[in-house]
Amino acid sequence: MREQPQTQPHPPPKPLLEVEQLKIHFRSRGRLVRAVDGVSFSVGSGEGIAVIGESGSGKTLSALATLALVGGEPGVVSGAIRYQDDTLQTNLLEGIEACFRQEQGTYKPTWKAEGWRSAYRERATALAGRKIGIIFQNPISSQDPLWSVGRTLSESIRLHNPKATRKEASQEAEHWLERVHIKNPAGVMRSYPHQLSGGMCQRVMIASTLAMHPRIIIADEPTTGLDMTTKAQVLYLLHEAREKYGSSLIFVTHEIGLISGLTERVVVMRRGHVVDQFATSDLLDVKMRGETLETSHEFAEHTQDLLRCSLALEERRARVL
Amino acid sequence: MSLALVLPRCPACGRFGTLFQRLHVLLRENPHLFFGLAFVLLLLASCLIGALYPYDPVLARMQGHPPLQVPSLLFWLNTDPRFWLGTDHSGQSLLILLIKGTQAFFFPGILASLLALFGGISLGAFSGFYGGWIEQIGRYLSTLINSFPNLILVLLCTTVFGPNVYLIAAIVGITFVPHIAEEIRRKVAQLKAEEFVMAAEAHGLQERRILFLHIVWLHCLPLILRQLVFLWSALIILETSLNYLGRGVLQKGISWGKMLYDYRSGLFRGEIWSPLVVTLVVMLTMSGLYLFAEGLQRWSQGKGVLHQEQPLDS
Repeated sequence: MREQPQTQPHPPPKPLLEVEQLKIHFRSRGRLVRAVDGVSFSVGSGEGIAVIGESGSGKTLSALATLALVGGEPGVVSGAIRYQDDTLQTNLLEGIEACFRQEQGTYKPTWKAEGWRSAYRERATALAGRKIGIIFQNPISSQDPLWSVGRTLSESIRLHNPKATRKEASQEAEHWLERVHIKNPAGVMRSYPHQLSGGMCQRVMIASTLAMHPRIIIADEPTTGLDMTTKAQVLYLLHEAREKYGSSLIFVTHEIGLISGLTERVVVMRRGHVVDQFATSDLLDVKMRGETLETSHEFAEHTQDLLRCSLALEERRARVL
Repeated sequence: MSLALVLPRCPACGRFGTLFQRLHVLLRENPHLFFGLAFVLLLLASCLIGALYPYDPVLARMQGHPPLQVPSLLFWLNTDPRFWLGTDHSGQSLLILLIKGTQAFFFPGILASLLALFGGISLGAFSGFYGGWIEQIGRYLSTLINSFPNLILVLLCTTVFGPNVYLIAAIVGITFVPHIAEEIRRKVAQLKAEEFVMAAEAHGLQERRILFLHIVWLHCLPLILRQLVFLWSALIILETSLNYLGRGVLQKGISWGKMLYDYRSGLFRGEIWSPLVVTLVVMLTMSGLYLFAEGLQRWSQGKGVLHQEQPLDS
């Protein structure tokens, strides 16, 4: 296991978002689950990183913690999440040390924890949408089922620009739908989430996230359950968002084959720890020769396992085709 | 407003459709709501008519209609429409009295609804969304309110403070707070774990806006309406039975309970027509209201809305 990445293609001068020694614990049937146990990573301005790992490795949770979307007890117990740009500098987890005391390796909330949580949520609400936008993996259920797509979209537009009237907001919503390459924006505006296909819905979600001009886009497995062509379209949209609007990207996925071309850096997580970090370009010359992996870069053991699995799958698919 | 709620714009084609088309769909998909809505509209209309047209019982008595007239089989041919339901022992038209009587529930009903809505929504929404000690307090308050027997409480209050229909309405409103709060609490607790709530938070919406606009207004509206219907029916039954018991609320004025009270002595003389009509009307009203509640329940499950399920991207 290596702690430091050896090569960084774009060394960020000042990271936009910095997660430091983040710990998220849960109590489940009397036992303590260390879902995230000391995770650190950072994203620079305009940079794209991929967070990969198996299911349950804590990658989604660490992403959600940046917007205080983690529920459950005791939840986020330690660490720091720093956001800094030209206008806003904040540590979301400020004052966390006083709220949890350590007892035999576990964290017990003190009486201050309740008030701290609401302060944490408030600080996160200031960031949410305008600074950090999240695209969830389940696009259909992440929209209000009783509101048409147009209303959901114009709500986020009016949130970003409160002066806009209802009509202006809905016009802008239509523009955004066009920008994510939806052919029939007027029809989609009127329809409800359950009437759209998964790919359409994901495009709508991307539009509503982009409409708020976030500095960082967190894409939490945005391609789950989509077919290959739709997947490619969604990935292209994310790529375009980075090119056009210069936003950073945190791409959370378990599919190692999707990240090339979209991100510059890869963070590999396993069981709540970061086990490996490397540049995406290191993946270029990875080959399978029989059972062994051939690369010029030295990966951590778990990364090698992941690569082997995905390459074996690729190979089998190639054989079938 | 109610029509626009029940008959939203067709999501597939974006048209409202003619009123007749939409009503036809409603009748086919959700007949409970159709008939219930018709009944509630009728009730509201009679409230309005009663409020607009003054009625003088003394004048009505002097018009010289035969007392205790029972309408014949062909009554719609040979009598004035005002006497289609016959007259009572003093020669007043039962139809006019019944229509005038709905007015007695109108303002008390609104008062009770407002009280129950305010208490129930704030208690239910906050205790469902935040849980913890807020929920504990809400549960304690609900148990406290539920532990008083309704009718006895009302009897006690009318004895102590004197007969006042607004007092009764206030008590009914407060006793309905736990019911509404429990319904809303359950729904809110179920919805707050949904992904769209998390997505709304991730978009930076204020918690209050998510809670009250998205969860309570959009998703709990049928539940709230349904509980309000139950509240109105409880109010009507309570008022009627109180008046019948002689713990009279209205010494002057007209209400259904007062009519029953006036006609009960005639029962023993064989004058059963007028009390029968009033009782039947109360029964019909109850079943109409419950039909409406059932229709609302089915509406909240997605029935009775013009849906053409087809994906748009093809």
